[in-house]
Amino acid sequence: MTDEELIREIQEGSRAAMEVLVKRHYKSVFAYIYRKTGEYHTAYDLTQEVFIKMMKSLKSYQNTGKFEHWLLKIAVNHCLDYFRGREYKQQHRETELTEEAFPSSEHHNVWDIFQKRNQNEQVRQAVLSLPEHQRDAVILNYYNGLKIREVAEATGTSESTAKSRIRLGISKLKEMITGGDRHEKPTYKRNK
Amino acid sequence: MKNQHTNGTNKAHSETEIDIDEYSEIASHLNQYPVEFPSEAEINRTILELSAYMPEPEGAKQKWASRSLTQELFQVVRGEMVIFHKSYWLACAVLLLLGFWLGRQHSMDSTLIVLFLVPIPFVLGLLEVFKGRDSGLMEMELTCKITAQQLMLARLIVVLSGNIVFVFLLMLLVSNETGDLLTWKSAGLLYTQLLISAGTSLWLAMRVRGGTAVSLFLIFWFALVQFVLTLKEVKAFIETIQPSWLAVIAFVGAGLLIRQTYQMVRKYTSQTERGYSFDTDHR
Repeated sequence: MTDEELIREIQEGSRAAMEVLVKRHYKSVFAYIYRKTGEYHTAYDLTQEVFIKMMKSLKSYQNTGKFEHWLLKIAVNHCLDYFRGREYKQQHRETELTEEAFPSSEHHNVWDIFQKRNQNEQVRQAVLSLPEHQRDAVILNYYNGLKIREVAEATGTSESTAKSRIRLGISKLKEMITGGDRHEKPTYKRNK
Repeated sequence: MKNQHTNGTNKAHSETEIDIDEYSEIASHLNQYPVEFPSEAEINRTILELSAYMPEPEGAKQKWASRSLTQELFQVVRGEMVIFHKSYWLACAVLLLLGFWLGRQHSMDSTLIVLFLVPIPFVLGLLEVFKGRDSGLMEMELTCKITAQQLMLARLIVVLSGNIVFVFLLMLLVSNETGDLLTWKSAGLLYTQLLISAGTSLWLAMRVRGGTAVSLFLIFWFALVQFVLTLKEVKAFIETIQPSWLAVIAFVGAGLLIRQTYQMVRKYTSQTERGYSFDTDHR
C-alpha cells in the first residue's frame, strides 16, 4: 500500500493503517532527529511529538509531493522550535558553564575529543558542532538522501542557499574530521 | 529495552542530486555516525500515544453532526447524573429533610430557613464540577470523545438544575402548613438568591481549589445568615424588596453566572490546549 492509500485509511479511522504508516517512517524521522540532537531520549520524545503533529495535520495533507518529505519538513520545523525553546537553551547554558570550567578552544576541544573517544563519537561531535542550518542540510542531504531541491523545500529556503549550506557544512566537517585547513577554499564538482 | 545500533537510513552520497568532492573524503567517517534506534516496544508505545489523535471516521462525523447539540448535551448531562458521587445526592436529600424539619419548628422563621439552605447544593456541587481539575484528571478527560470542558459544563448544568428543583421542593415542604412561601415573590427572592450565590461561588471556585472554595463560601454564607438572623432590620429589608428590584438583582446574578460559565470553559480550554499543543514554540 502506498502512503497515500494508508492516509486515506487513517482518515476513515483505521488504526492499523496508522501503525503501518508510522512504522514505515519512524526510523527515517528518528534518525534525522537523533543526528540533529545527538541525544537518544530527546530524539525519542521529539519523534513522538512529530508524529502527533503529523496526525493532527493529516486532514490538511495535500498529496503534492512525497509524504516522507512532508513528514521530514514537520520534523525540521519541530526541531527548530525545540532548539529555540527554553528547555534547550537552559540545557545549552549548563553545557556552556561546564565548558567554561575546563576552558579550551573550540577547535582543540573537538580535536581532544577526537583523540580520546572512538571514531563514532568523533563524527557525532563533528556533526553536532555544525551550525544548525548547515547541520540540517547535511543530515537531510547525506543521511536522509534528500536532493538539493527537497532539502530546500524541507528547510524552507532556496536551492542555492541549501546547496551553499551543504557545502559549508561538508567543508567544516572535513576540517574537523581530517584536520584540514579551515580557510582552504573547497572545490566542488557537479555529477550529471 | 533493546537498542539497535545501526547506520539506519544512511544512503550513499551517489544517490543524491549532486556529488560534492568533499563527501568522498569524509564519507567513510560520516557513515560511522550510528543511530541508536528505539526498541519495537518503545515504537509501539508511541503508536499507542498516537491512537488518541486518530481522526474520527467520516461516517461517524456525519452521524455526530446530524444530532443536535441539545441532544448531545442532554446525553452528557444524563451520563453525568449517573456518575455523580452518591454522597452529593445524599447530602441534597439530607438538606431537604433538614429544611422540612426546621420548617415545622414554629419557633423558626420559614423564610430564613429556606434562604439559609438555598445555595448549599450548588456550592457542594462545585466539588463535582471541578473534581477533574482538582484531582489532576483533566488530561485523562481530554482523551475522551467528550472534552473536559463539556464535562464541566454538563456537571454545572446538573448541579444548577438540581438546585432549582431542590429550592422548589424545599418551598413545597416548608410551606406545607402555612403556604406563605408559595408565592411568586418568595420564589423570585429565592431564585435570585440562588443565581447570585451560584455566580459568586463559581467565580471563587475558578480561582482556588474546589474544596477551599466551598469551605470559604460556606463560612462566608453562614456568617451572612447569622448576621441577617441577628439584625431584624436586615430581615425586614429583604422582605420588602420590590419585585422590580428583585428582577434587576436576578438579572445581575444570571449575568454573573453566565459570564463565569463562559470564562470557565474558555480558561480550561486554553489550559488544556496549551498542555497538549505541540504546535507552539517551546520558548
